[in-house]
Amino acid sequence: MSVKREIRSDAGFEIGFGAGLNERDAYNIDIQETQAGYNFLLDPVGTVLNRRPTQDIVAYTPNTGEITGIVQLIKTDNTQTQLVACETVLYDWNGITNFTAVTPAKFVKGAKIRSTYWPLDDYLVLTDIELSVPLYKWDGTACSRHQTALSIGSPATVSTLTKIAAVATLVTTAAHGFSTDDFIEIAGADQENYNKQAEITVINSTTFTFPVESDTVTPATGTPITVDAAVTVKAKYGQIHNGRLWLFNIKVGDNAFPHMCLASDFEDPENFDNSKRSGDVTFSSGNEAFFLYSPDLKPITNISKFHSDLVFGTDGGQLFVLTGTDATNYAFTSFYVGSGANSDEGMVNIGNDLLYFRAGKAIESLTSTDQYGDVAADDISWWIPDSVQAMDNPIAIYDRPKQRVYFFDESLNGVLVLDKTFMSSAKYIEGRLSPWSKYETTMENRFDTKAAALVRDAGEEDYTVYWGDADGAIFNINGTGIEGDAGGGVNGHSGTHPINVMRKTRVIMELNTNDEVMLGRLEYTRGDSINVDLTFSWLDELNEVTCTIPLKETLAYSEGAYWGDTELYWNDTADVHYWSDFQIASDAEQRSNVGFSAVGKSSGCVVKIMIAGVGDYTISRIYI
Amino acid sequence: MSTYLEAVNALLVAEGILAGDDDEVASFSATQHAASIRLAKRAIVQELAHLVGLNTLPYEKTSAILTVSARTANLASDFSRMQDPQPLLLETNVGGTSQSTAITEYPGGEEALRHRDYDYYESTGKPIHFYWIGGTTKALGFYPVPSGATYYYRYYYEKDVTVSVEADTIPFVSTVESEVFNEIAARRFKYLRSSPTIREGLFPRGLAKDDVINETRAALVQLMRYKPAAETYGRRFR
Repeated sequence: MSVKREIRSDAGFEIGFGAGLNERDAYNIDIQETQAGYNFLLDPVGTVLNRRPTQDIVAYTPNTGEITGIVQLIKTDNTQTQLVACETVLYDWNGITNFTAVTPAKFVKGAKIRSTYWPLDDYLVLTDIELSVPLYKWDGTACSRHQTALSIGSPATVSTLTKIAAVATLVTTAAHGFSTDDFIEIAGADQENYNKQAEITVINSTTFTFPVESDTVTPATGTPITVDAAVTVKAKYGQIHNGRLWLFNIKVGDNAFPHMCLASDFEDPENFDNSKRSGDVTFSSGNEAFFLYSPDLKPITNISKFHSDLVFGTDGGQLFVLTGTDATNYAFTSFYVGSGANSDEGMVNIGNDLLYFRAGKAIESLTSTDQYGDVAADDISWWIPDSVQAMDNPIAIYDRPKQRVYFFDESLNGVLVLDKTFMSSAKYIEGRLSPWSKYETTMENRFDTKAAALVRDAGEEDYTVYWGDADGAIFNINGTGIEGDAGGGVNGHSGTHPINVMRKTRVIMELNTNDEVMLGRLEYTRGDSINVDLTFSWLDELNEVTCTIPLKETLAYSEGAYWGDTELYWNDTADVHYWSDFQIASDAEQRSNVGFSAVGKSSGCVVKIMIAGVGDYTISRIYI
Repeated sequence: MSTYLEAVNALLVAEGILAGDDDEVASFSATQHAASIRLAKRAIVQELAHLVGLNTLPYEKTSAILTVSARTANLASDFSRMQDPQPLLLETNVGGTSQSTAITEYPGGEEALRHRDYDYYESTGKPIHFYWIGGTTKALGFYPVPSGATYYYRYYYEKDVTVSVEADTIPFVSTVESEVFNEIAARRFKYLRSSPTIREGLFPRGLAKDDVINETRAALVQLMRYKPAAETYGRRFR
């Protein structure tokens, strides 16, 4: 032991914040990691401690109910609309404060609306994770049934078919037996606009109306014109791939086919055929619609693009990939036998990788080798066994601009956050340090959500992740507020909710804490005035001691030039100010430190850092 | 003069504990520097105890009036010991003015008195002696025992200068004395907060023979003298 060590207390042991959550071991994890913690951000290079962004309330739904779906349509003309499913209402939301109900007839409470975009006709196809509502489409102004060209096969003869304005009136020769809002299919008309599937309004036992294009010729001609009950198709998942609309985990009428995939005609998303399997001998062009079953006949859970392929998992089964080029040879083949996805929305494409929540409660990373076709899986949740065990059915969302992957789960009381940029750093590649963080909140919703989506901000070009809670609030996970989560909120979100940040080191045994007094300093950059609690949990003594350390606020400084000469008195590049504020440094330069000394002696200790409040701060490191 | 809290802060500054954005501690219960505060307090109290033991603090010397109407009377709560080897109690009136008479300690104390007068508990009259009474409270006994009258005595004693709460005064008259004391206490503080290994390097001869402490303590004693110390020793021949 040198005298120098005694004089310079900074020559001891350094605690950094350069890595994430590692729940595996209290003794052997890296000192940059935290054995428990939440609400901190990670950086691929830096080692500082910053709090996560605030959860800003973007809007409230008028009925302040539980939000179960958030989808967004960005059309080819760059206009955007948003749909929000909330209780029994489907809202057209302008992204700011205006909500307009566009609820279709068969919409029901609890529908987890998700979407896939059909660019050729500029609309969203809406599916439902709960399989409670039929397929819909949203074109930016109206929500209507998505046609599938599937009918029950018992057509009735039409007596007359006329139209006034945009409403067609159909009269049958015999009682039609339909009810208002039933989905029917017209066929045989010489005027193609009549040949469609539509929801009807019943006038009497032989007459009903339905919407039609206003310029359609009337009356309709054709021999015969028939009407049939359309098949109600529900799907958990939809995906546009290879010029087709692919639907997975299907319900046709009242019959569930969780292992089924329906593929539309090539470039015709409204034409399906649930009677012909891929490779049917009648197929000639290869553009035909068809169906496929999951090879292991297990329910399909999750679908995603992986590079240029379509991948899906089966419940407790395995991963499969779509192979083939057209309807004559499309097939599902085994992709990764190891384990299947095991949640409704726990699979996510993160650009160069595919993550999925698998059976046995782990999150796997599916990475391809240079010779694609040979894939390997890696347990990306290796560091956080306790947290993933707490999850049951996560919703995985990739925040592309922030390069973060969020795993929402109602059993988690928080959000697990995987930092993708961290995974490209030497800390991850060479050091295998944890890329995980966790967001928690003091709001009552605890991040519980049934709807989260990457969307574009209204009126902006920035993408972010919105999520909705059970009280009708829509949050921006990358908020910029200064009052904490839901700052200034109402409707059950009143008051501010501090963002408590916590990190807990591994057991520190390197210090001679039996003989030496625990002295240390905390380096930080001034921001807001806020207290830091350092709690030392001493081994052997089983005692906890907390040092409350006040961080000081930024000293006032002037942004403006003084004396009219910017070159002489205000160096904008260096952000150094002369004369008017006596060279007080800017925010970023106001680095300082503050000391602490903790009572206690033992063979080792764990240091927990806890910051409660809503202020901004940057803590660089703690050295002991 | 400084308070106990100011002295603790002085030690923390001197030893580099308070630096950067650290504010001086406002209370001994502040948790930020809890361990350092605890040791600084110990250093100050220990050094004060040493100085008291050396009988060098003028700040200790004080007097009080003792009201006597029974066999015993409690001394002041901060009483440490009498100033004089042959202490006396100067009789005063109720206003504290001297009555030009005094009583002295019974030769041999209570034990001798007990053998000389078996009735010393009951013998009444105006006291002519006092004797030391042990026990949990420092008190004097009086012989004979006052009966129906109250007597007042001024006594000169050394008060307890130990500090315990933030506002207690460190027993030095001048600022420079306090500063020198802080220097000694800071050295002791450094010793207390050092590991055994570091102590070997910084305090090779231990705390009792530490040059810094002893030299500074000598300087403090010089400062507290009311006149300069003799510069020569022994017989002087002309």
